Amino acid sequence: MLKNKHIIVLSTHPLEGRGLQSFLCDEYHPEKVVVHASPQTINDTENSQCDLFFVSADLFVLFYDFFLLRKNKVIIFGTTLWNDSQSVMLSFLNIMTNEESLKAQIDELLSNTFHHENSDGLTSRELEVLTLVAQGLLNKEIADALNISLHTVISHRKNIAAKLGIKTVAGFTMYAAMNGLIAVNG
Amino acid sequence: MALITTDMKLSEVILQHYVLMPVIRRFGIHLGFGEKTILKICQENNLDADLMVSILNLYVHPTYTPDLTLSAQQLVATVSYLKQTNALIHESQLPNVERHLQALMHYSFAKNKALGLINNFFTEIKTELQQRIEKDNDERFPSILAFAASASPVIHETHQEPSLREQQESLDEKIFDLRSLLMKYLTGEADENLCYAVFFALYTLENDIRQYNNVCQSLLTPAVKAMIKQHNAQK
Repeated sequence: MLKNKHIIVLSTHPLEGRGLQSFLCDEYHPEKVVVHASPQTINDTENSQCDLFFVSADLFVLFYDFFLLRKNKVIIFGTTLWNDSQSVMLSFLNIMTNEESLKAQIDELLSNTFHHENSDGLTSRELEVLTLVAQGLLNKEIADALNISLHTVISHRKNIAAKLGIKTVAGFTMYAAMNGLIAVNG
Repeated sequence: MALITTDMKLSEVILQHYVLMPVIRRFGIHLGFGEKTILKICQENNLDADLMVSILNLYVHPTYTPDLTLSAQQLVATVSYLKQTNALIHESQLPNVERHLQALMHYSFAKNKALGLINNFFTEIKTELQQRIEKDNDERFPSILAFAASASPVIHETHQEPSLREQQESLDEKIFDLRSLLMKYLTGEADENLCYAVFFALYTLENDIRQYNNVCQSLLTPAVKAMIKQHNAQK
């Protein structure tokens, strides 16, 4: 999931930073993982190339403005669940746990918050919904297939319509066919 | 933008809103109308001037609500106008899109297979549109005209309207989507001149369908409902 990705780990504790770096390299084989003790030491190239930031909770609070601008690419880590992270929809990783749980948490965070956008700005989840709409599934069937609520499906469909400027099912189907998301008959 | 009124010169109105050219054609007004007012031209052509300005205003002002309850005679004239619109869509606009699309397919399909999808989507829209036109001409309009002539309750317009409206709305939205796909998401090689030609032909068709729906929703349906209500009250 992190192949070809550039990651920056930010922690004031060198061992904590190096530990997470090592774990990410072993488990996910990203293109590059660098460790910094502060956002201030990140150079412009690293900053522009970075796909994902792992930042310790204390640094996140200290450099709130910096990270808020990049909140879609930020995973905060710490030893306790940071309450505010829920209210502002930030991703939180509890590192006070074993390797197995750490891996499971990161997997989930990556699939939920690290959106893979296509060239038209659709996230991987929206592409999944779009594909199912194009296959002729009803909202309820899509909700069941993806194990999400009906409300979420409707919300995804609204977002897809807004991003693509397409309103009809026939239009979605056509877009999916043009982009190779569904097979074309005939 | 000021509303169009019967004392305005038709030539000036058309110069300001060139999209109204096909509308006056559907009323049977031919070119060469000089400096005459809308009222004068309507009198000469035996047309209802109030109805005509309502339809012209509906065409150029998206939020316009006509202050006109159609008489039986105006209802007949409105049906006649809508039939003319359907005839022009069938005889002129659909073939126009098709001509450009076929040329585009002929020159560019070998290099760009996505055009086949555009073509299929249009065929789907065309079939739906033709079915709608057929239904309007064969069932809906004759029943409205029979009702207007005899005031006999031969129609169930109140029940028919929502489903018809849904179908019509989805049609212009589908054409909008087809245009969007052509404009935003068609990649690869394709003759650009022909793409533009298809785009504009679709735009004209979409606009006319939308205006057709507007006339139905703002003039025809309220009039039919009022007649049914009146008929029921008399019983």
